[in-house]
Amino acid sequence: MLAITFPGKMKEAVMMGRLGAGVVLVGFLLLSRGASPARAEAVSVDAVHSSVLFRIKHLNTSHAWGRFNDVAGKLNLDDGNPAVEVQIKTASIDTGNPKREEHLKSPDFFNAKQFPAITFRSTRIQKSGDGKYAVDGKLTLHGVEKPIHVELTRTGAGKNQQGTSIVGYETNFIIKRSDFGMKYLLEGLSDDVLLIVSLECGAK
Amino acid sequence: MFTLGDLWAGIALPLGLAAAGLLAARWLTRHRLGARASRSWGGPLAVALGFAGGIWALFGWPGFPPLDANDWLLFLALPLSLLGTLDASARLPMQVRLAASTVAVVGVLLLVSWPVIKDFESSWPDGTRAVAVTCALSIAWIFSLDELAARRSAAGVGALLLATLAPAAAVLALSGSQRLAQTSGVLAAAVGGWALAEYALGAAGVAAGIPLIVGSLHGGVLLCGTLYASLSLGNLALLLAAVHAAWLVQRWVGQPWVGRQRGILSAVVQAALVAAVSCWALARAWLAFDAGGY
Repeated sequence: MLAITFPGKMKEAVMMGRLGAGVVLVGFLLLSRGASPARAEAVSVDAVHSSVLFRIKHLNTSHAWGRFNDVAGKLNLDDGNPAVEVQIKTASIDTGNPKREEHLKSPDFFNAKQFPAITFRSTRIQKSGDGKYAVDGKLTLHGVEKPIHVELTRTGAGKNQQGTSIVGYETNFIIKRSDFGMKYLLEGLSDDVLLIVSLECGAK
Repeated sequence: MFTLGDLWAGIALPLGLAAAGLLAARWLTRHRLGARASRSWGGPLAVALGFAGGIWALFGWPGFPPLDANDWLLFLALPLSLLGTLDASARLPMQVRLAASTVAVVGVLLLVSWPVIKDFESSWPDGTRAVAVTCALSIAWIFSLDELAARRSAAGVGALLLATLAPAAAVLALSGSQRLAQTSGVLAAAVGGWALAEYALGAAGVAAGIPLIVGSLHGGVLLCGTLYASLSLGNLALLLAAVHAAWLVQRWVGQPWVGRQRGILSAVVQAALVAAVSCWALARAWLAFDAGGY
């Protein structure tokens, strides 16, 4: 077995050299991780600058609009293993009328105490064009999980006031609320509900 | 918004089904059990038939297990009616009847409240307190009404029940859920159908077994109102305490120093008091109600 021994100061210099090389290597790895789009990290949904809107037809006459104010989630569309997860708090429904919101949160519709969250989890994501993604996933609403397909569009990218990189995505799709067990008052409020989801995401 | 279809499915159908169910049950059992024994038979099954028929016509048949906790009530109506029938037909000791009522109430309330109380930390104290209060008051409700049922005609007990069930439906309508209000209304209509049929058959009918099924379902609907809609615990307590007003009158007229007048006057006073306490809850709900243009 060959053993190399260094005298005093030389040993110290070798140790410093090894330490320096380690720092350089870690720095290189960190930089390359940030620069490579193939290793991009998931970005988190910024609830303040994101919107989840819904539209439903009232008495077959006009469209009533509402929104959910509490949305969270993570998106990773550039990685080799893309995934989208979105969670919406049902009780954050906002239609501009507290009594209507109370009714919508009741067992007549969302039953928000029993089903406090609406969730979406992607199962398959494919790039379908420049900044466009075909997303298959499972939407869970009112305790019922159903597969849905949405077309997600990248709406832009930039930096916020803190200098953090941000990116925007949007999709709109129609669901039938009766598919999710929300069958009350179908003669007064349409079965089809349009959802518009606009998300601003950034690293947290 | 109630349509003609809602009135048919929510009132006329359960009323008719319960009345027809009782008449059929009495006709079938009269020959086998004799006129006297058949008097206490069929009531719980008639109420369950009316209740299940009305809920099915209004909301359709839910899948099993049901999505919304309040839909358990539909599936529980039949087992409760069997327990009520057992309670009515077998002369069980008081301890067994207490145990049966407790099992029925606790079973119903646990099933409808499970989505909330399964997470004990987040349900404490509001959810847990609501379940405990409803449980205690529902058991007391059944025993109070049971004692009245032993002394009053079935039609008289039916009138007392309607005096509290009808205002309860209105209170639920003002507490954020039309669906729960309609469920309560269907229960009232089914009880009304049973009471009408009992009245048509004469004053000899006995309301045995009725308190168990009606008390368990009534407590279940009200607990759903508190846990999943906006029914206050105070109004829930008032609605479940209302029948005790009749029980107090019953105790009072039973005392020798007021004589033994148990006629029409005391029945009217009882129904009026039960209605008054229930309408107190209705007034509270009305005063707290602000539609805000909705």
